[in-house]
Amino acid sequence: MIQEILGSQLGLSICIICLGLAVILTADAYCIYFERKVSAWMQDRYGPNRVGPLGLLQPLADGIKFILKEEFIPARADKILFYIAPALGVIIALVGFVILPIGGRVHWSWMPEGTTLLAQGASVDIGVLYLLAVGSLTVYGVVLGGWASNNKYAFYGAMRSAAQMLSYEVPLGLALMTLILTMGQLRLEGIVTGQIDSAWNAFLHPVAFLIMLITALAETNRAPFDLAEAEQELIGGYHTEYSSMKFAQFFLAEYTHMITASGLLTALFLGGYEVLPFSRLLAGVNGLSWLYWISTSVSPWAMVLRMAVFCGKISFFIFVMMWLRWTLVRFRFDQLMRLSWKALVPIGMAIVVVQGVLLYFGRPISWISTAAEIGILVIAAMISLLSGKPITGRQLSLVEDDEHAIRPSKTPVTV
Amino acid sequence: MPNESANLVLGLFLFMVGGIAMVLAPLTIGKLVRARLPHPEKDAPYECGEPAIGPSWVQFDLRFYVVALVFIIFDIEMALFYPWAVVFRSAGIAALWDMLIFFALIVVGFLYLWRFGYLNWVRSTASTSKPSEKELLAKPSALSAAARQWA
Amino acid sequence: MNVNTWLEPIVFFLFAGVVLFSAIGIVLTRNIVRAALFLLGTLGGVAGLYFLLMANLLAAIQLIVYAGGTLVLIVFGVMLTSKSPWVRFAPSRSEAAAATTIGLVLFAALAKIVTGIDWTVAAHPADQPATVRQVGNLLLQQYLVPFEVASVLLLVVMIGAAYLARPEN
Repeated sequence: MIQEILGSQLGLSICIICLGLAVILTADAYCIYFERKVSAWMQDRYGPNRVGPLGLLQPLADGIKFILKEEFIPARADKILFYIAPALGVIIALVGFVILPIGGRVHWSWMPEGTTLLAQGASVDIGVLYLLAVGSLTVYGVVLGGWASNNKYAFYGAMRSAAQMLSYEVPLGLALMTLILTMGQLRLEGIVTGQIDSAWNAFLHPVAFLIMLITALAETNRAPFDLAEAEQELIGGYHTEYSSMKFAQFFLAEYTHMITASGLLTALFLGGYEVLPFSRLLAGVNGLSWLYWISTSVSPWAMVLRMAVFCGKISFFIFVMMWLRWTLVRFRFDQLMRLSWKALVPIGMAIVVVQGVLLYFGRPISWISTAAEIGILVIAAMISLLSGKPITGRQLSLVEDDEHAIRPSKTPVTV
Repeated sequence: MPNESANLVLGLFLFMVGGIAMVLAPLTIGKLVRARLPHPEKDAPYECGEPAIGPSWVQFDLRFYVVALVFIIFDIEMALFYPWAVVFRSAGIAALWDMLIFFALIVVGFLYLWRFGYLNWVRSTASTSKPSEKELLAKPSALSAAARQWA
Repeated sequence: MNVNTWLEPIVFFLFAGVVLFSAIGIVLTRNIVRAALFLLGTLGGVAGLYFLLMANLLAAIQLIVYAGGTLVLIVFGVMLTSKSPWVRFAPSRSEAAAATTIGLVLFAALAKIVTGIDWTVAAHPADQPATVRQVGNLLLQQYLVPFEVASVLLLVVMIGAAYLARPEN
């Protein structure tokens, strides 16, 4: 019976989906734990260390607390939307995971010789487009939550978040388009095997990778793009009015979204489940042939190792996101919009055109592609340096206004 | 329905069921066990301790709307371009010219937006009819006068 | 074990139910933002039906352009331009009558089309999804001119929309 289920594509997919669901939801809880640990390490603190050994039971304690806490719903809120919004956020963040190519091809010993199954939730010919589609829906959880609260801070946060997500989806689409141009397909597992055959896209398309990394941060509302919940100015932004379990669901959605975005980055740019880049070339080196074996073998053990490698890379990206959050300061809103519309979008359009031309001359997979993209980045940097200061509104600072200038007071302020 | 679509639809379905279960279970458990002590102050919108003035559903800045409009244009462009990008490798020179023309037109629109300041978030000194910077600096603003009180 | 035979009807009726429920919701709700949420349900449900019909590209575009783009624009329009009294619809009797008439005419037209089609299933239903590659090839060969004209249209729309929403207004 088990052999029959695992031996059919549909059965295997269902098993992987159920496993994935369980893993993601557990990982979400522990992401919050690690976020606190990482921030503590970076600020020379301990972080959670009381509940269980090393504080490892902290997520459980948090969960119980979320369930037991009293829940407020503002009297003038739109109650139905107030309930639906966080749930919508969680579900939309989850469904993106379904097509991530985490396992590659597998062959069970009880299956007829030469047949293989695809170890992933689903495989669609429009893979990347599907992820873009799901990504474009993530805006609703935040916007509806902020609107339904009938709170000015929440509404402000929701509007900011919506404008931010829309703005960063454009460069995301352009960066992915360069990838599709060279890979010639939208299927995620095809893109992964293509990278195993040649080189990781992060090397071939460094600028596209950079744009994608930035937009992943922006789309997940992570610092330095967390203007939607900027504590110092908007209290909690879109979740100001949320409490207990519904508040937790917004967090669940954010961390699930982080996991999915990291998975997408891994699959598209970091070779998916390949352990090290260029393993096909390394396979010739003595003692390193196992690298290529892991990436391509149909043995179930190789599949398990591939999944582990994929999860490892996801963890790496999540760590990078946390690292950035506790390192960088938040953007101002005009800087955020300028970064997207005046930097990432033009650069994105430039790399699409350049890759198209390179492709026509038959040099998509070579150092020329890398050099061309870095060249565009350098040119863009030079243009931005030469074009002077952008208009930020700060030009009309109070200090420039001579007559009423405010200067630091000489006498010390006494309280 | 071939296996492929079945898998996707089934996957979507399972994730939705999982998501809904994930959302509903803690909510219902919470509803049963958590304390509920209603008080009008708890249910008031949070505005840093001040009583809230008016509803928050107010008219918002139009700049957000322009962002959404421009986004849709690029969105449609992408929807048209992805199928094209997939076949580009096998299509040859026609596809390249095709793209260059299409892109040139989009770039013209984009430059128009850029030139006339629609992409600027801060518009005070960069709207379509520019008041010169000197002009703005000439009169002491009410803001700086007000700020002076606190200095 | 053929799962598809019993799975397909279940999923179809699920998606159809979502579409129908949301569509009725749009008509009956008086709150504009709730109507927008129902519209999201309808668009998403229709995208699900496209997935079932193996029109994957169409489904993705439906989600990207309509659910992710146009609907956000509508939501923005509602949230940004309306003061609180406008959040609720209060249609007058004549408006309701006009809406009903238009709705009935549309329904009659659609019903006529639906009943006029020969719904017998083809002997060999398409077993391959219409791939992105085919659509791309069509865009580059047969529909090259419309493809280019679309870019002109987008240019006009971009400039026109920006002009309408310019800061002075």
